[in-house]
Amino acid sequence: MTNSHRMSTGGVRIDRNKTVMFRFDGKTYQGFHGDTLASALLANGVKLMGRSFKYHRPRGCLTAGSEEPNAIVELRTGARREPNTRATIAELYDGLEAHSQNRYPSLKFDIQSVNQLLSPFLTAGFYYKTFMWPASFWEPVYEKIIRKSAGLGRAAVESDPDSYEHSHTHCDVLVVGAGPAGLAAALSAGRTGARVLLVEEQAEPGGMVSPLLDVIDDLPAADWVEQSLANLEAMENVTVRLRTTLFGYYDHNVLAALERVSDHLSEPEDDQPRQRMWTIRAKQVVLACGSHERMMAFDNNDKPGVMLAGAVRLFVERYGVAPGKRVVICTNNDDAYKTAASLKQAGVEVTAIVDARGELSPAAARAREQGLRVDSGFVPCKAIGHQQVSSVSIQRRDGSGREVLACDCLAISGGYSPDVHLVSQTGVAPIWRDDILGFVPDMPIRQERSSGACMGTFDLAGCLTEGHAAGRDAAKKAGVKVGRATKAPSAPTEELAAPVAVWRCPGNGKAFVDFQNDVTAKDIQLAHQEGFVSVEHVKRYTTLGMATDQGKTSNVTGIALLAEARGEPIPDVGTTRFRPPYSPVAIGAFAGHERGKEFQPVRRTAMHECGEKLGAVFVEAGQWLRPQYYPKSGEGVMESIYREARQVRETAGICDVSTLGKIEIFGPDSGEFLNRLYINGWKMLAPGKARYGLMLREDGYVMDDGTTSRLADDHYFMTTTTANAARVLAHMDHAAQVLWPDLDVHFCSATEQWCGVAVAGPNARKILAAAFGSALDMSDENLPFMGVRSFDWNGARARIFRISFSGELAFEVNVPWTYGEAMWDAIWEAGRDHGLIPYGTEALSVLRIEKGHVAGNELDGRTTAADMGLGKMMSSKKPFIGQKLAGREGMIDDQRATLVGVKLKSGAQRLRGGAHLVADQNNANAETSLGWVTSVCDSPAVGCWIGLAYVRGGLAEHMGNTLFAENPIYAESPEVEICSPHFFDPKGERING
Amino acid sequence: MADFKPLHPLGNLDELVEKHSFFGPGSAAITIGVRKSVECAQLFAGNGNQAKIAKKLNFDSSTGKATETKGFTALPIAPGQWILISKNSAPGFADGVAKSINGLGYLSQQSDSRICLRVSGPKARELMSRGCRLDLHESHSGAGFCAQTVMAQIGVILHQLDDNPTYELYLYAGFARSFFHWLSHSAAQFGCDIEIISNQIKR
Repeated sequence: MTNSHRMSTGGVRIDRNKTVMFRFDGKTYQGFHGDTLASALLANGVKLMGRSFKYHRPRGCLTAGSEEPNAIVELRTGARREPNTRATIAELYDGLEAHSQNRYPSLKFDIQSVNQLLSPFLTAGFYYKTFMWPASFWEPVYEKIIRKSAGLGRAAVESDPDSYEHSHTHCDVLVVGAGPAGLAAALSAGRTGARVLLVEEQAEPGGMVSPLLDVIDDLPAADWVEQSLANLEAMENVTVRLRTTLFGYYDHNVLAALERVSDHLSEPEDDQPRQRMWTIRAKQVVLACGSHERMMAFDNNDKPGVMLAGAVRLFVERYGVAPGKRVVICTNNDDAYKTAASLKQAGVEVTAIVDARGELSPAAARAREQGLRVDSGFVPCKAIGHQQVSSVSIQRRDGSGREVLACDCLAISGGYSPDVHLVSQTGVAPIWRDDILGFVPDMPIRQERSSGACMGTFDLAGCLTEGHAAGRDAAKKAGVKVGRATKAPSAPTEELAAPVAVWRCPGNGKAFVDFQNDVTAKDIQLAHQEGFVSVEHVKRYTTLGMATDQGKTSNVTGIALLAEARGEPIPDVGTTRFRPPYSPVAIGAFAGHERGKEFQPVRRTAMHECGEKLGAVFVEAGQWLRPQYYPKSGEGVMESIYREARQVRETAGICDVSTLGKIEIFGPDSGEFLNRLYINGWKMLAPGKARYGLMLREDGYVMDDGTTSRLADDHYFMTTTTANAARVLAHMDHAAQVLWPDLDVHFCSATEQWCGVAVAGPNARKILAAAFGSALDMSDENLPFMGVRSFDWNGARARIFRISFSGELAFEVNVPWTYGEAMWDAIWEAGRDHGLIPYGTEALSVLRIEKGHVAGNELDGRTTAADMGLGKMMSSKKPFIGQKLAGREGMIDDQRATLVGVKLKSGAQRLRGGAHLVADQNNANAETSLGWVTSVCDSPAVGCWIGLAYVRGGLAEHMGNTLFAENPIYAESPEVEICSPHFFDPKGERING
Repeated sequence: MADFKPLHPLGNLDELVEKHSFFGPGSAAITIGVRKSVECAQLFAGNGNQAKIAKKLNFDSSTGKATETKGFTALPIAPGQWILISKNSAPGFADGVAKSINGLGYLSQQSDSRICLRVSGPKARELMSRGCRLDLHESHSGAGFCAQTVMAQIGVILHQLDDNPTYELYLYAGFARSFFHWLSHSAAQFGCDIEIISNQIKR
């Protein structure tokens, strides 16, 4: 049976010298290099390639391209297994392993095909009707049933070993599709000197052109195509990308394409990705994406062996495969006669051509002259056969003249639908053309034009002329000087007679419209009967056109049947909108490089390795990695955190604070600028001093806080929180460029120029004095609290700030990035005799909670300065951003939740952030909530669990009160005492050491 | 006092070269050069001083392209703002420029903030297209082309040095390893060598 259906000659795409062995459902077959999985299976007489989605009916391939709804298979095995790929575009390689899907236990015997017996119940809207009652069954019963039957194929369980990448390109003219119109467009645009990109989904150009029967420029079409490709590739300004599907057409002529770099190989070579996703920015686009042939709706039209006529021709001409030995062709148009001619030339028996049209077209007459049987005025009404077609019953459209014709392949042409998917993505509504029985694009919205079959032009000469003109027009509109007119490629003129509409052929059985979602003609009629009138509703109710093929072979028939049911013309029904992607794109391709740990970039500080050496556990803070805590051996997380916090207060600690945002501000108006940004005043700040500042958003809520230092009269140095660094800089840019361009102020990020450490604790001064020696006078006189000094250290400029987040005697030292490690090492060395320990972000947080300092948890974008107890900082002597809106009624309401401290009363286990504070634990709900706990710790300095919280009425109403910290998640409700947030050293004496 | 050892954000460069280079000088389709150090500063013209500063420093501020002077390359990054890359890398570059502009503008020392990677070789343009959204075709961008953009989710300043083409990418130090990882991976399919560019001596 090997290659039983391979003809002895023919097949422009295959190389008969290169045999390829492959397996399908465990059985080994032989094919040729250049075959697709579908063509090789057909060559081996395998017609059954899959089972349908709903009824599990046996299915073979319907098409020879990416619009395939039936032959959906799993490719490859193990980690490279990919479900739901179309056998019609899967290129064969040696060792390819493919499996059918959606069947059990085997493709030939699928137990779920019993669904067919239930089919009277499995009609349109089955799910909506069946899984409604009782409601208690929704999750426990129905969801399980639906989930089990939903979905197709099995995704690989292992991580994908291949890589995917993104790439960008720009061009004057993008040509989509390398059929005759696309090639002509690329050639004419290319000859103007325009930058041209031609993308073609298939491995080879040519589209639907018949390589041997068609003649272009007096050459057999195959030769012309080859020559055209060579000419294009010789042009430096033209790029041709084959195996590349244009799948998305977005705003501003940005388009996306998927290049299948390695899918035709057993595995990617030489660090190549499996697939590459292209973002294309094109000045002008020529769409030449062709058309899709349609099926006719007749009973059992889904039997394996029933195929589209154009696909039958492609299998013969491209791959030298005869899909059957006795073929009956049923058509409503002239194109199928090409298939007949092609089959005849290849020596395949054409039993009859069944033409729905009553009158013989010139093409039909010619066929009859050549001795072919043409039954005009006949349509197919039922395909007969077990697991594949063995005969077809035909009859006149009025029901008379019924006859059964034996065949093993039924080639159907229900007419061609121009491919309007991409143009529909741009928002163009397709318009109906009665003469071709298809939708064509309306006027373009973006810089594009359609040409050839996707514009409804089906004759070869017309496609070439249109493509040629479109290419030149696109180049011209892209701003290229196109020069004198050039001659379009020519082909003999053909006279195509008009098709006749055949939607539902006579019959009462299952006549499929949408093959991939198992939607029948009856489903559409039923949907209409049940009141679904709009095409959008019928689509969703029946799932017509909602499978991964987006109804390429079925939409128009579905719309026509709905129009019939409504008793209205087709244009009144209209089309649904197509959306990207044009055909399925693997998630891997969208992700590209950004997967696993590369999902987003990682930012490392200069002292990252210092932390690593000391055993730091890192935490992601935005993109930054920060040391979270430094566990000693045998130490638990919490033990480590509280030990670090305790030791800082006892001796000293060093903490990497490089991630704080840093902004250098210059210019004579810097002070005025800061005055307008911050709620507090800056003009009086003396050079060499730092100040804490708070800024609001324009809506009056707190945006960010930090310390800003004045380094010189016209030079300030701002710090922001790690999280808000970029936001604050953008806010400042907006203010400087848009609000006050008259201010002479200039600033830039210095976050990465400087790295910094905080050294805090009673021994901090001693340690830094030892580390920096004579380079720096560490005395209280030289460096008082909130003082700032610059000094030279090892030839680098360093800055020291005497500021404290922990409440201890503390300093922050900044040095240029490349000096970071050296500085850390120097301080570490100096701290050896002074009990210096490293501390991470968690201990930092414990220390600041003990001091009642607000941080990210309290700065949550919903709080005012007054809420945080900082209302008095708001200057009334100057305007600043957010000032007006901070005065709104709701913002100054004395019942707002304001910052308080909470202390866990003895007897309770622990306090948790997020708990709601209520007065009565037996009446805890959203209405009785008085506020919420923001930050907590088991304070080593205070000796119990403490926290910061926002409570309505604040300390004024609740000081000393007992409330309950209600936490329904943990079913806890411990008693807490409301107190001042300044738990530790409330007078602030420790900052002096 | 601990021994002073400046640290490149990519770590030990010799180890990096050892790990990544297989082809030998000039034979790989891509060479990624890592500049050992970059002496640079951000220059701001005071309001109304843009032309005066350019005249004083003797560079053309009107082209939107990188311009060269004897001592530095000026990369325009915003109206009245440039990144100046020193050519001789003498220490105190920023202070020197600040002195010569005599109050017409301001200098922010940025030598430590960024690393510089140089991409060259016959496939340089193709490699850039893997991450760069800008049109780097020769008809659109030639020597001196300069832009701020995003590659691999990381902000970069891109400078095309010549028409070969050779590109220099400046990016913040903290992103150095992430970016290098992406760049060297993307370059592997072409064949890629790493080299250290030490024509500039730090301080």
